[in-house]
Amino acid sequence: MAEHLIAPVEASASGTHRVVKVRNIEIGVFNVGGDFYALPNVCTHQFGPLCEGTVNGTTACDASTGWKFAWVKDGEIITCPWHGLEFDLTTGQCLAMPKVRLRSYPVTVEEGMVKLIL
Amino acid sequence: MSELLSRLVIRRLGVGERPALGDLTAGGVDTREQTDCCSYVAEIDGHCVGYLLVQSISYLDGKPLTLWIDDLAVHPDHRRRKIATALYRELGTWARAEGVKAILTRIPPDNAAARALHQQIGFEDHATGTLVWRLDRD
Amino acid sequence: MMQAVPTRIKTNDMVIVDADIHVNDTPAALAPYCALPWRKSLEELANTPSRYLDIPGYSPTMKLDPPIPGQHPNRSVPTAAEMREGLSTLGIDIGVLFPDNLLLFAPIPHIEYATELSHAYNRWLMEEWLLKEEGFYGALLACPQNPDDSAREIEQYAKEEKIVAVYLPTAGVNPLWGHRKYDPILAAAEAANLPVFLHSVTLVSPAFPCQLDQFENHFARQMLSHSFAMMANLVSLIHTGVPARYPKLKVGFTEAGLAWVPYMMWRLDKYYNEYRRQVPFLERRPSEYMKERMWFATQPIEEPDNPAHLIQTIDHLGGADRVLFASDWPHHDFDHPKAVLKLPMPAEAKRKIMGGNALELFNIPVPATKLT
Repeated sequence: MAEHLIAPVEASASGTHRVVKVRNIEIGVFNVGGDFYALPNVCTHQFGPLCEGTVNGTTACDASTGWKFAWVKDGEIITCPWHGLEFDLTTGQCLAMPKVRLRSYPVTVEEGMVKLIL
Repeated sequence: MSELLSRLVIRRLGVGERPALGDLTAGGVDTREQTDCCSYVAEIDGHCVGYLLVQSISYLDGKPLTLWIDDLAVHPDHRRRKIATALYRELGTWARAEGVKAILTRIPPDNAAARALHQQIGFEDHATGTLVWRLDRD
Repeated sequence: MMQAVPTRIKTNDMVIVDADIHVNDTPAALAPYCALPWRKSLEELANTPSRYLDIPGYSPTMKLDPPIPGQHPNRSVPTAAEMREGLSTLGIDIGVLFPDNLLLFAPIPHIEYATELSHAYNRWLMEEWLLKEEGFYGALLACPQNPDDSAREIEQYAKEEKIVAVYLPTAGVNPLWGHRKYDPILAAAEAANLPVFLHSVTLVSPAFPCQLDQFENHFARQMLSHSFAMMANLVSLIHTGVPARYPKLKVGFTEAGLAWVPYMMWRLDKYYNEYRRQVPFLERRPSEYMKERMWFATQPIEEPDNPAHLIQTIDHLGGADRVLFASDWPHHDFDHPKAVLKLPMPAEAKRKIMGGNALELFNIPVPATKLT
């Protein structure tokens, strides 16, 4: 494993993300409320550019919401621009396919720099 | 040459093992600490002549669903001897048995030799600029 | 009328359960069981000339085209004794009974009349059929026009051993099943541990499916009435979250064959990927719910030139566990048990499809001695 410098923290505001190339792979690096997460820029479905999608929340509706629609995980969901498959960017979990998840890369912040470990 | 190739051994790279291939190890090659997939090294008489470095980028039920090729290298003295093909054959066999759906990589457009090799293996150009080998479709 | 019944089959090694048998529910038969003043309406209808499954004000098919002579005759069985004899001749041990004319119950607009009609049918079914002969079980007629009353009806009959399902009138139902107005019916069925069964029929409805009125004959309407009714109601159940909101509810589909099911599973799953946030109550892909708590009856079994293709279809929709044999006896397009029994399947798969699945789903005790 090696550390890869991504960007200065001040250039990576909460709610933003960027797609970077590390060696030969593109990786999306996300700032969610000050915590950083990273996922491969490859959707599990048809290998579309997942991390070029929009970050948003999503809906929930179950017994805990009284079977009414609720807005949840605001800022934690990436939606693939190709066919709309949703992933929890904090875990890599695919929402439509509970058995499927993306690799989630560790990200650290040291001396003002965001670093990806790969 | 065939005598030399009969001594070719493809084996799985050990966890944390750094394949030494002259100065090809320079440039921060991954040391393969991932335990959920397989990288391979090609050896002749115990000397590394090539390697294929792989990571899992998605999982189905905890098992690799898609793989990414981080690096493929063959020592200049041993090129055009199907060593890369042999490395991919091993990976393909393992990946199919694991239920892997596809193997992806990205190769610079100007590296015609590497692109031709990968097309021969079964990789196809994808709209995103990656190369995709659909194990579930070939 | 009873026609010549095809020869019986030897099925001594398994119990044959038929998930779809039809009783001849004429206005005259139901009239004595119906409350006033609607009894008078049924008596009046009893004197009205009718076409097959086409009685205005009772079973409104609303077909506009002329009959073409020479078609093979339609069949109906008026009594339990004749039905028992017919099923035994076919080698069918146990039958789950559905209506004839009241397959077309859903478009009846008059709420009070529809409610009393459903009461009358259910009483008549119980007294004239289920308690008269061995091996008969019934699907209680739900009344989509009056969900609260229908829920009470289900509660009332829930303790009856002979009632093993709730029949949801499917063709022409508006709004489709899954609409929240029907929640009391689904909740009552779930509480009573009774599977609900969607059973389609050929009909032209002003609401659905559109433009079937322009088809010139029954051939064309038959193609789409059943499959559209099934697909639309399945999608409606899924898109309103019924499998998630009623996690113990079991759903059966009868009279549209099997081949539409894989198509819908694949299509629902594909678009669930894309539109999951519109149906967030679904925690799994639609096909996973379908493969767990939905069953599909065989009739009218598809007849591909290569029967292996049908076996693949069964595999695609989740395997033999999902499939219930149904003959649709005595209707014109009934399937003889052999049509399913002779498919190139392993013996265990046949045992499940021909009766094992149904015994479990309907919670029917295995008869001490074979009835055929």
